[in-house]
Amino acid sequence: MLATLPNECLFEIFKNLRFYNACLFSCLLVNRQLCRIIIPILWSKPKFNDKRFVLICLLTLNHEEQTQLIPFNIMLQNEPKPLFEYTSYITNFENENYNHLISGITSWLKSFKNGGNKEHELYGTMFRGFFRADRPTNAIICSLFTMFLRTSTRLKNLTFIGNIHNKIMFAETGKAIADALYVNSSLDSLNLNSNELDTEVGKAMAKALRKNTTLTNLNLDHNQLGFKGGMALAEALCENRTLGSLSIGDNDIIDRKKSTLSRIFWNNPFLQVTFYVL
Amino acid sequence: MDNGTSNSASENETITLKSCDGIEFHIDARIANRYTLLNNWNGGESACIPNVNGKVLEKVLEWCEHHINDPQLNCGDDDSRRRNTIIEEWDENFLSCDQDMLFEIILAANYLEIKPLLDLGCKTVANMMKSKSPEEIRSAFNIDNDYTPEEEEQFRKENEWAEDY
Repeated sequence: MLATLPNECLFEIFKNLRFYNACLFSCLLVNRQLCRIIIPILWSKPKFNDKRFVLICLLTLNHEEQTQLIPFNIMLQNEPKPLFEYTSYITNFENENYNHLISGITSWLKSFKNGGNKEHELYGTMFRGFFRADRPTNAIICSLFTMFLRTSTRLKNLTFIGNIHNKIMFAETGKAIADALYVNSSLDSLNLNSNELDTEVGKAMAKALRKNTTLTNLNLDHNQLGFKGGMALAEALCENRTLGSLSIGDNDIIDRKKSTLSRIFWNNPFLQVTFYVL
Repeated sequence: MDNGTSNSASENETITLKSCDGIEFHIDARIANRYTLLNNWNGGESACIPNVNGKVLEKVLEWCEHHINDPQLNCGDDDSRRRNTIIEEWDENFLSCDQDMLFEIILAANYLEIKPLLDLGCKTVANMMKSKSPEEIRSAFNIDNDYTPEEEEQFRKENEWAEDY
């Protein structure tokens, strides 16, 4: 009988099906034991562009995260809370996932608004092959990222490299990510290259790094942290013993006192800082 | 030929294994060296395998002997050994036994830490689950449904995004 196998063997069996979502879906409906084993596998790489996925994420938001969405009339009080904290199993978030997520949110917003008998509205538009998020979409993205980092137990890598079409809207998300990093203890690598992140984000990031003990790799190249943002990071990182590599090239960090910043960074023998971008 | 079996045992050396129900097997010592299967083997001429009965041990050793010249992958928990979903014909025939035996082999391979055989067994079970409905899986593997109807419905809704490829 299948049930006689220990969970570690069942886990090995279902890992073979990790590229077969529909099959995992069938298996998890078999019984509770299989469900507990399969959900972490299934949700490690979810389908970010599916509106049903987006709905489950929205139902996972806590009170504070939901509050951010009230100005956009996005309220979901009548739906039951999910049975699992599914989002805690996500392992990876990369550039392409960002576009998928915007497209998922867009299609969820469409059906949400239509369900409420409001006039059909188009959220997020395709522009030269890139999705551009509008205000409600962007508010949802910020809330979702805050939630992803709050609930995550397995998210190791978060990469979002800006481009000319999305960087301005993402700056807001960048702040949400920096704030949320404060409570996160799973992320190993964060790359927010080219996103117009400003001094405030630098300060929020510094605050998080005083407490964080998991992040080893941080890339903030091509942003606008400025001298104050850079100083905040440098001071915070004197205390941090986990971060091994930081890139902050092209950030308008003009150091009038000549290398005050480098001196502070040198105080941390564990850290390699790159100030210049080739 | 360097097939990774870097051990001192020569081809003719044999050792004696004893299953939990007292059946003895004489095996090529290279098998014992290759897998950490004999945690309690101290290099002597015989060893006891608790937890595995003679019928199952015979199957496991048959597999080990057939694969004795396979290149050894140093993998740990590497994904590379799982990437290959093709099962060789010999292995397929070998594992087309009844379900109970298949699970016994998986259990033994797990216990004896014979990773390639464990993978093979797991892959075989996984393939048996493909394109089946939850009800078909329950009856194929004799599993009881312990969900309440409401619970099942909620799990269905919450994971529906995975339903189509």
